[in-house]
Amino acid sequence: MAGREADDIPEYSDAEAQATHLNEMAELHRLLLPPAGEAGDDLDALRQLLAEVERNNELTQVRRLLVGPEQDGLTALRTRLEDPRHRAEDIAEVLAEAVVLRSAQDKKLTKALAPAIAEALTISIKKDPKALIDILFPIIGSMIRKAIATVLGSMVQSLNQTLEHSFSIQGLKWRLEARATGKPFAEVVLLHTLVYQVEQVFLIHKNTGLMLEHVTAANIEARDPDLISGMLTAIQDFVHDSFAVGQGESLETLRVGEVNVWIEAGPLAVVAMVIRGTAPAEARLAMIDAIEAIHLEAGEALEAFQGDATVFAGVRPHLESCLMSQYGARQKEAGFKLHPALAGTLAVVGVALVVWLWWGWRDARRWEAYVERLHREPGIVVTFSSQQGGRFILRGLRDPLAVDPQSLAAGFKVDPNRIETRWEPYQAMASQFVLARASRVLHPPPTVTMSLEGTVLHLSGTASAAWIRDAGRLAQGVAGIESLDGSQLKDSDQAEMTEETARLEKQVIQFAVGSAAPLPGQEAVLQEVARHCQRLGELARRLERQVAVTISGFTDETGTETTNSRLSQKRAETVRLWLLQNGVSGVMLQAQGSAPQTPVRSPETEPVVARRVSFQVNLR
Amino acid sequence: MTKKKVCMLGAFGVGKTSLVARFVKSLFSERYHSTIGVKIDKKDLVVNGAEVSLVLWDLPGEGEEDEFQKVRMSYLQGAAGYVLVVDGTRPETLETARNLQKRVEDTVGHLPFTVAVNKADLGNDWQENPSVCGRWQEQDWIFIPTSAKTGAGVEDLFQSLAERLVKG
Repeated sequence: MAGREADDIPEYSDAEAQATHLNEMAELHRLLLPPAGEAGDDLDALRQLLAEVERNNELTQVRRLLVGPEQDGLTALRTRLEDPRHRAEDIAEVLAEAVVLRSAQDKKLTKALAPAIAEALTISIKKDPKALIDILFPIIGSMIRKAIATVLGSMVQSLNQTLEHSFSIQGLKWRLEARATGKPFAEVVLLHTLVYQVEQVFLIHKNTGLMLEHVTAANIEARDPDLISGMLTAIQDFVHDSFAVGQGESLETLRVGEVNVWIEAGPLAVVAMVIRGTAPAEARLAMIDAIEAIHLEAGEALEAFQGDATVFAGVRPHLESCLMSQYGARQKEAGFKLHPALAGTLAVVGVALVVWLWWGWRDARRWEAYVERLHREPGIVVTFSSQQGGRFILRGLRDPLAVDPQSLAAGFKVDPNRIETRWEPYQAMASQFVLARASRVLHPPPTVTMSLEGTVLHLSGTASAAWIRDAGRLAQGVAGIESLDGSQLKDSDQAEMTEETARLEKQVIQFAVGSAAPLPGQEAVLQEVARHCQRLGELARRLERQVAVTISGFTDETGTETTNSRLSQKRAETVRLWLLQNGVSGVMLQAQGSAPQTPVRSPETEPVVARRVSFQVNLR
Repeated sequence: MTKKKVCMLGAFGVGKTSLVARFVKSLFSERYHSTIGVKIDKKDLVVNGAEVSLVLWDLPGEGEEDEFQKVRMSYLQGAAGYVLVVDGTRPETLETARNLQKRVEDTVGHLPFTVAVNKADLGNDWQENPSVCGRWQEQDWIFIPTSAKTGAGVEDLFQSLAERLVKG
């Protein structure tokens, strides 16, 4: 201090110095002196001050004498200190050692330098990126190798998962999905297994095992994290004690089912993450980032931890950044959403099942309706019906005249080919069957109507005598008929005989005056007459009767009786001859002239009609 | 909220677990003792108006000869203090407690502790035995008679230990 004081005083001559001092003193006096009053005190003080200055002056001289050489040295030192170039040289000499020393003490130097270095680097890289590339080139290779190794590691992990899931039901489902989506199976597995949620993150004090901070995902209800933290620490210790593990190595993963606990230990604290599902490698990186950041921010607090965890509230954001999750597929699983392909298959199977059941049900309904119909069908007695494995079985009695049961099946949409039947024949006594049987036996002509009353068969209408005769006999053999009532039945031959007789007797063959030859155009009438005669002959044969047709000739009233008689006879003979020539049996024909004996004369008779031949039928 | 790790130590069968069972918050079952050798419980207390949470590491009882029954001293790591539990009806458990205390001092250094003399309800015959008592009173140990059965002294045990830990 003394040296410096001496240094501060400029080097003047003694007289000059004295004068200067006096001036200074005067100035000082002027500045210090109060404006008014207490002048006596001030004067004393000034005197004292002056004496002091005088003494100092002397001291200065003494000092100069005593420390003159040192003063030169000090001057030189001062020059050197003030010169930046010298100072830089000095610092340069010790800088490296100083950095080493300080770094050993604490990290303040590093912290202080960090921003400047970062900025310097940024500027440098911006300025000349190529330089950085050149520098990094040799090391970047190994960095990439390391990164690839990590990726390969996780790929091996996923490969393991792939293999694990290859033979499970899940795996089968995923295989279907892979096939449906055209993705490789491994990718599908990865897609599903990479779904996870970090449910809880613990920050645990390494030394005490006490929980410092704890965060949970929004939807998670955590159990006492203090106890869990303690237990996790205990498990760490247990593993450490029980198995030969290296110093600094620690339990990194616990896995139970789909719950994983990942543990990342720093020097002072441990981060533990409870993960449901399979988290990707990034989650581990997030943990490492968090533990590093926490050590950087709260390292001192961690070291000084005495049980007060509240000071660690500030690190929550780091832990929260670990609460990663990947939803989507898992939620899909949670909601049991089927893959479209599987859903489609299931839907098809479901529809097929419904259709099959419905078919079965419908078949059963149809079968029931069909059997019901057969029960109602006359002439069929169903004694047993059953449905066995797609085949239908029928047993019973059937009248041969009843409808064919197979033919009814089509009406109920029952496949006749699936029906197995065994019908025993029998004769139904229902009236329609008795009538049908009678019909088959008797072959009644369409003019006959049959009806059944109890066991009596009533016949009505007309039929040939022969049929009527046969019917009475045949009816006895028909089941269900005991007697025959033919009272309402008319003999058709007899009736026809009457009709034919009437028709023939209406016929008239006309002649010209005095001629025995028929009038022109009477040929048709003669043909008609011939037909009637032939028919009468047939009917008489069937009726086992004798028929005779009398052909009578007539004349008008002009002329003589003899002439007329002869002419009438001739006219009848002419017609008889014509009929014989035209196929009418001569046995039945008898010609007679009747003019003289039985003159036909009636008021309404036209004169032309008088000259005629007419017919008369006689049955015997 | 201040948290302190406290270990429960003592000979086999002194009733450590029953001592804490009814008075602590428990999440884990007894099986943890036989599997990983520790069971962790929690006791919340209020000391000087502030909440203090004692995380109790209940270590399995130490057998006399069985090596496997040795308490893992690594579990003492980071403990703020511990409770030595002895059976008031079995003076030999004091000997085990002494050994345990010595091992703790050797491995993790000096820690505050309290001796819980359990089964107080059965009568503390050993205290009347000067040859036993005399030896331990010299060591300035703090004894608190407790009973897991009646609950007597248990709150006091944890409360007094917590107060010492918070102060310390």
